[in-house]
Amino acid sequence: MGPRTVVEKTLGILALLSMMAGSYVGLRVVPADAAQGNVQRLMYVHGPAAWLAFLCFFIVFVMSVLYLIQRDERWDRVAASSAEIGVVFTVLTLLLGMMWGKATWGVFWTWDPRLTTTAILLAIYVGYGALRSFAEDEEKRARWSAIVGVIGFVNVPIVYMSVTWWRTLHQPPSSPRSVAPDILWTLMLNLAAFTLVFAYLMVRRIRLAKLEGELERRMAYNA
Amino acid sequence: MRKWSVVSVVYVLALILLWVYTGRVGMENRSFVVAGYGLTWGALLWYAFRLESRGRTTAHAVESFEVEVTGD
Repeated sequence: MGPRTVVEKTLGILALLSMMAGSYVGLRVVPADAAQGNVQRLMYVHGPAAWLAFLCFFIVFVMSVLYLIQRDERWDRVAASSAEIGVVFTVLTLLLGMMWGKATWGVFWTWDPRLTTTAILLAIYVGYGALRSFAEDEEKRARWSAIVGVIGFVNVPIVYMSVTWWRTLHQPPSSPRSVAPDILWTLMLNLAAFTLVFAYLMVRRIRLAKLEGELERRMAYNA
Repeated sequence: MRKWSVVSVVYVLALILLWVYTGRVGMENRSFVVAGYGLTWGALLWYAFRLESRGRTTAHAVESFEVEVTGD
C-alpha cells in the first residue's frame, strides 16, 4: 500500500495517544457510577463505537447519493471504505452492549427494539459488503451498492429513535442534561479518540480501495 | 521481530496489568470491564493491521501484473 505519509503517521500517533488517554480516564480517573457501579465504564467505549458506526453509515449514504448523481468512482470507493469500517464499529457496539447487558440486565441478548434494530443494521451493511464481492462489473457494483447505501441508511434513525418510540430495556440517549459533567467529559474524550481512529482507518482503507481498483483494471486488461 | 508480534505482546501485557489493577482496587464486575476494553483495543488493532496486510498483498499483486505487462 506504500509507506504512510506524514499526515497519516501523525493521525495514527494522535489516534493511539488519544485512545490511551480515553481508556486511562475511563478506567482510572472518572469515579464509578452511583447506580451501576464500575460496569458503567463500558459506556465510554460502547457509546463512541455506536456513534462512529452511525457516522460511517451517514458517510455511506452521502457518498452513495453523490455516486448516483455524478457516477464518479471516487465516491463509490469512499462509501465502500466507510461501510466496512462501520461494520467493525457496529460489531463492537453490539458485543460491548451485550457485556454491559449481561452485567446489568442479567442476559447477553434480548429482543429489545434497540438491540434488534442494531442487529438489522449490521445485517444490512454485511449484505452491502457481500453484494460488492458478488458483483463483478465495476459500474453495476457501484450502482447497486449506492442504492443499498441509500435505502439501508433509513434504518439508522430508526435505531437512534428506537429507545424513544418503543418500550425498551435500553437506556434513553445520553445528553449533557442527563449525565454528570465528569461522565460527559470522559465520554467526549473517548468520542474524540474514536473519531481520530476512524479518520486514520478511513485514510488507509481508501488507499487500499484505490489499489484494489488498480488491480482489478490490470486483471481485466490482461484477461 | 514483526511489528504485529510486538503489538500483540504489549496488548497481552496491558490486559494482564489491567486485570491485576482492577483486582487490587476491588472493582466489581471487573471481568466485563476488562473484557470490554480488551475487546475494543483488540478489534481496532486487529483491523488496522489487517488493512496493512491486505494492502501489502494487493500491492504485490499489482506489481506482479506490472512485470507481466513489461514482460510482454
